[in-house]
Amino acid sequence: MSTHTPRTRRITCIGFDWRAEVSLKETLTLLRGKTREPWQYTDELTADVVVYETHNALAQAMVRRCAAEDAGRVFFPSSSEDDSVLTLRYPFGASRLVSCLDSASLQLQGRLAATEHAEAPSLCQRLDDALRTPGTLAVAIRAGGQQGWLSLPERELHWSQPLGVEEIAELLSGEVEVEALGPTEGAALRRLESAARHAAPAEGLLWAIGIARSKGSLLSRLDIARPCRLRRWPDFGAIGRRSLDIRCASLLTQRELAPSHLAMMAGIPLGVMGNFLNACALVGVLETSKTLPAAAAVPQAATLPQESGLGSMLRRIRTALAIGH
Amino acid sequence: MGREYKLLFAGPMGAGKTTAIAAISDAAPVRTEALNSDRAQHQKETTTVGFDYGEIALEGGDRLRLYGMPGQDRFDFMWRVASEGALGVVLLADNSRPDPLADLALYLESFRGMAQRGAMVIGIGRLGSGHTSVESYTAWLSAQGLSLPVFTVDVRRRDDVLLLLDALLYQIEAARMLAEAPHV
Repeated sequence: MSTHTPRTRRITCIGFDWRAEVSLKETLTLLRGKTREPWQYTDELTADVVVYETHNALAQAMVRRCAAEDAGRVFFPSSSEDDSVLTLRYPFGASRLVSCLDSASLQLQGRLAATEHAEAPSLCQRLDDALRTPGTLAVAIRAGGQQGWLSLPERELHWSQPLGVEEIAELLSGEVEVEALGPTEGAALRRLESAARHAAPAEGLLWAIGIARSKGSLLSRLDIARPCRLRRWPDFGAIGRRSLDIRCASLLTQRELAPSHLAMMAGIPLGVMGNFLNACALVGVLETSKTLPAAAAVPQAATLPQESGLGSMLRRIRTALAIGH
Repeated sequence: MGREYKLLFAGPMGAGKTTAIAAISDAAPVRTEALNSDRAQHQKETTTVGFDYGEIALEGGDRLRLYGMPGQDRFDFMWRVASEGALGVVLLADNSRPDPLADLALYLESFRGMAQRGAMVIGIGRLGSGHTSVESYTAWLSAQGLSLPVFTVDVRRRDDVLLLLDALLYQIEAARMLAEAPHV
């Protein structure tokens, strides 16, 4: 896992009138502690993030020049015809601003990580890529001198023996190779079939890879600002009990939420949330929204007051059973 | 005088309700077993004819009472009475039975109010002894408009029972949090 230390990022806006600048400064102050990293406003165009008014020709020209000079910066236009582009327009909604800032943090960190590990995407990313390669019939997995395969589309794991939580942890402690096998790799698949006859649901292995082998990065096909939900609960009976995962699953099965909102409601860091979402995506239970959320109020962390009757009762039951927080 | 909260364990005969309560109760549960007169449903020698009862002491002198519902459907009037004021219900399915989804339907009907507000969790026992997959359970629930936690469990293991309770408590908490939070 990455050991990223939060640093203060800088944001500026160009092409808007003075009220937008004042609004952005004030909103940033209100959002202190609610974003993945601390942010401050600057007048300088060397800021990490530049928000620009797309209808202002001068702003567009400045952004083009900035982008040509330095690739290590994130730009948010005030509007875009492309749904997949994050936009930020005045008045700046707090919720949308948080999503944009957290997304920028991940992009900026991702660029740094990509520079440091350009040749080594996470095992989670490699496996997800393999599973989603068109025409893939199975994915071969080699780890610790053993090998097996995942059959698609049922995502069943074929191994030489049943794999429990401890065996999976041991397998994932070292190097793991994955390889997508298509219709032309019939011979390789038959060799794997003869060596790995025990078949079982792969949920435990896929979950463990998402949680433990994501290198702190969200899968490239996921977006920190895009709402998502779970179409069903992962089988934590097979995966193993971890209260943090159960807490997140209980929220995401009941309502579609953007990851940044989910992290705030669950009271956990966004990076940890990313591992949870990666695990859900690998297992195949994560559904992402096709649309980005409209600006809205920022949900509060720990919105269930501990001193409320319900909150107090749940806490005391958990304490008595030694579960949960 | 401390307050009392109520948690229910339901499911067909032999699903493990008594075992689950015994796994977490502070003291050995009070059992109301009698000779099983309904061997067509299950071959076990004895079965619960009243409530099984266990309890957990909470901070501040309150108590969490654990009630195991009798599994035979001729006692379904007791299920409805017991569900009044209950915090939630742990529904145990026995996958070795001929039609475990039909079993669940009976209990869902009796505890529909709790299911609709998310105060229900389902534990599937003896998964390998039947042909109904976990996906089939979740798909069946989804068709009923429900998205409830469904886990494969062995209620002889305390940790599996704790998993069910952990999920149930988070379900209840999440429902309250989301009801109070604005849609985003």
